[in-house]
Amino acid sequence: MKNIDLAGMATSNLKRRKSRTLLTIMGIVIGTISIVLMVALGLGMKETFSQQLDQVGSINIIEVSKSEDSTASTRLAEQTDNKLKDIDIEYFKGLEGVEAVSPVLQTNIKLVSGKYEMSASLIGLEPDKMNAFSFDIDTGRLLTDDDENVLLLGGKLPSSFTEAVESNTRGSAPKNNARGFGFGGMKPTEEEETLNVDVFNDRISMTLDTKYSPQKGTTQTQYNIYRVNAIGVLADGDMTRDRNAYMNIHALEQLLEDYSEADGTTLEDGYDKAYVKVYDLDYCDPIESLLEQQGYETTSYASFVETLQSTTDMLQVALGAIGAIALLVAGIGITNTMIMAIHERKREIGVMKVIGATLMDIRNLFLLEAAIIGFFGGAIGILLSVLASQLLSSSGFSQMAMGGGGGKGMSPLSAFSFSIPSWLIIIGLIFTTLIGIISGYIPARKAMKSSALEAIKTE
Amino acid sequence: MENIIEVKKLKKVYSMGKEEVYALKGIDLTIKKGEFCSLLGKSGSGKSTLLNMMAGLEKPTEGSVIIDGKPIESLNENAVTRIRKHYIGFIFQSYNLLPSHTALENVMLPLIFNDMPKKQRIEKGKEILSAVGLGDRYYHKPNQMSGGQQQRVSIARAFVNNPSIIFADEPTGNLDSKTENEIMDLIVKMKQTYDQTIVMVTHDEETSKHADRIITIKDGFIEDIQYSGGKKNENKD
Ligand SMILES: Nc1ncnc2c1ncn2[C@@H]1O[C@H](COP(=O)(O)OP(=O)(O)OP(=O)(O)O)[C@@H](O)[C@H]1O
Ligand SMILES: [Mg+2]
Repeated sequence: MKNIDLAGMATSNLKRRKSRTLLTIMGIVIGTISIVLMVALGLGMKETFSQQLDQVGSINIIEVSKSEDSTASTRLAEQTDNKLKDIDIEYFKGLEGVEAVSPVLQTNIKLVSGKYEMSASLIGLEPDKMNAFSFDIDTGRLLTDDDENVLLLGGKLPSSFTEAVESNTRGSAPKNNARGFGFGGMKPTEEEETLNVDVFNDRISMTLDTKYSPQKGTTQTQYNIYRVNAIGVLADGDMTRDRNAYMNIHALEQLLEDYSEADGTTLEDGYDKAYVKVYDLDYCDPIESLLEQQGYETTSYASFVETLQSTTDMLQVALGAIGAIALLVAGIGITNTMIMAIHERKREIGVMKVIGATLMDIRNLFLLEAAIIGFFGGAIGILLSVLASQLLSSSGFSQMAMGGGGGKGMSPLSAFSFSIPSWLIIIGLIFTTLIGIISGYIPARKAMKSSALEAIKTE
Repeated sequence: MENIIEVKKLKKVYSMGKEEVYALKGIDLTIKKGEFCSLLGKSGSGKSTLLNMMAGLEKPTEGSVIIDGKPIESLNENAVTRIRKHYIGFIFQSYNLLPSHTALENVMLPLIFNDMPKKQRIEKGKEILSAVGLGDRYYHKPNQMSGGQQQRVSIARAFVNNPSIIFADEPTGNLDSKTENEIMDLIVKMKQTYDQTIVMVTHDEETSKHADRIITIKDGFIEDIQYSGGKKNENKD
C-alpha cells in the first residue's frame, strides 16, 4: 500500500467520525496548551531572573570580613580587633581563582543639598580595582587614584534626594526614604524629569553624622561637613550597588580619622571588609568554605543565585509535570478513541485483510490515524498557546501582575512573561505526534491481530 | 492443465472446551486452472471451513493446502496475506462492502493494496463496474443499492485485481431466485472473460449446476464428485 493512499485513507476515516475525532483532538489541544504555556512560563521566569542577575555586576564577588566570633578563628588568632589587616588582604590575593581584591571601608553618610537630603552607605574602595569589580558607569566616570572628596553614586541615589522633614524627634528619617527596596519609583518617568538635585552641578554637603539635619544648621554637629562632588553615576539595576556611594578608600580613611578625632576615640587600624572577586562563579563555593574555615565571615550572591536557579528549575519541572499529566490523559483519550474505532471497524478490518491488506497496512493505518490526531492536536494547541501568550503579554497582564511597578526593578512578579521559542514549537509538535503514535500502538496491534475470519463471519 | 489448488488429507478439528468438533475429516481435492467448482452440501457439512482453509483464512489441524505450488499452511500470516493479495479474490454471502465507501471506492480497494496509481485505479474500477452492469452506479454507497447490485459490486471487487482464483461463499444466499440467476450468469460470464478459477460454496443444487464440477460434502468428507454434463464419479480420491 502506498503512503499517499494510506494517508488518504486515514484522513477520510477520521473525517467520517468528525465529532469524535474533534473531541479527541481537543483533549490533545488542552494538554498541549497547558504544557506549552507551563514550559513557556517557566522559561520566561528563568529568562527574567537571569536578566536580573546579569545586571548584578557583583555576582562573582565575595564579601569577606573577620568573624564576630573570634574563638572560631584559627588563622591570625592573635589579632584582637574586628578589622582586616593588610596581611589578610595579601592572603586573599594569593588564593587560587581570585582575580582581584580590594579592602573596603564602610560608613553611613548623610548628603544634603539645599532643602533636600538623603542617607546612604559610603564605601571606600581602591579606585584601580573598580574595573575588575565590573562597576558599570551610566554617566560620568569611575574613581581614580587622585580623587579625594568626590563620590561615585549608585544608580538610584540621584533620584533619592527628598525634602527634609521638619521634625522634633532626633534622627528621624525622611519619610519618603522608606520606599520599597528595589521596586523602582512609583512614577518613574515623571520623577526622572524633575530630579530634586542635579548631583553634578548642585552644591552637595556630606557628613558622617547621620543625625545631622540641615534645618538646624551646622551648629548641631561637632563633626565635619564636607563639600563633595559627584563624578559619576552607576548604571541603575544592580540591587547590590544602587543605593551606595563610592569613594577612594584613602580619602575615606582620612574622613574616618577626622571623625574619630572629633568623637574622641581612636580609629582602629585596618579595614571593615574586603571584596574578593573570583574568576568564575564555580570558585565561589570552595573559596568561601576555605575562608570560613580560616575564621572569616563571607557573603556572596553565588549561593543566592544557586537557590534562585534551583527554585526556577523546580518550578519549571513542576509546571511541566502538570502539563505532562494533561497530555497523558489526552493520550489515553487517543487510545480510547482508537480502541472504539477498532471495535466499530472490526468487520471493515476483516474485509480489508481478506481482499489484500497486509498486516503492516492495517497497523500503519491505525498508527497514522492516531498520529494525525496527535499532530493536529499539537499544532492547534501550540497555535492557541502562542496567541494566548501574546494576548497575555500585550494586555498588560505582566504589568498588572507586577502591581504597577516599573519594569526595571527586581520584582519576582515580573516573571509573568511567556516566551515560546521555536524549539518548543518543534519539540511540541514532535512530542504530540509521538504521543499519538504511542497511544495508537496498542489499538493498532489489536487491529492487526484481529481475526479476519471472525470479522467476516459475523453478520 | 496445471493444478492451481491441491488439498491433501485436510483435517480440521475445533475444540470447544472438552468437546471436539470434527469439521473436516480428511479431504483430498485437486482444482485445475480455469475450472469452476462448486462445493455442495447441507448446512454444517464443512463447506465454508474447507473454503476458508483454501483461502488461507484458517489453519488446518492436519494436512496441507497448496496454492500454485506453495503450501500455505506453513506460511505466517504476513506471507499468506501476500498470496491472497496476488492470487485470490473473495465474494461473500453478505457482500461485505465498506458502508462508508462508494461502489467505485469499494471496487478500487484491492488495487490500493496492490499499489496501483490512482488514475489507473479509477479507470480499472469504472471499467469493471460497467462490466457487471453498474456503469451508472459508481458513486452510490452500499445502502443506496439493492442486494443484487451490492453483490455485483462485490463481484467486481473480487475480479478487479484479476486474481487467479475466486472464492465465493454462498454468493446468492441472500438473493431471490431471479436475481440469483442474474448473478450466477454474471459470475460465469466474468469467469469466461477473465479466465479465472472459481470455487463456490452453495447448499442449493440448482445453483451448483452452473459449475463445471460439483463436489458434494457431507459430514467433513467428500461424498461425491459430479461433472455437469451428466458425468458422475464415485469419490475415491
Ligand atoms: N469457529 C468454530 N468453532 C467451533 N466449531 C466450528 C467453528 N466453525 C465451524 N464450526 C463447526 O464446523 C462445522 C462445519 O461448519 P461450516 O461453517 O463449514 O459449515 P457449512 O457447511 O458452511 O454450513 P452452512 O451451509 O450453514 O454455512 C459445523 O458443525 C460448525 O459447527
Ligand atoms: Mg457456510
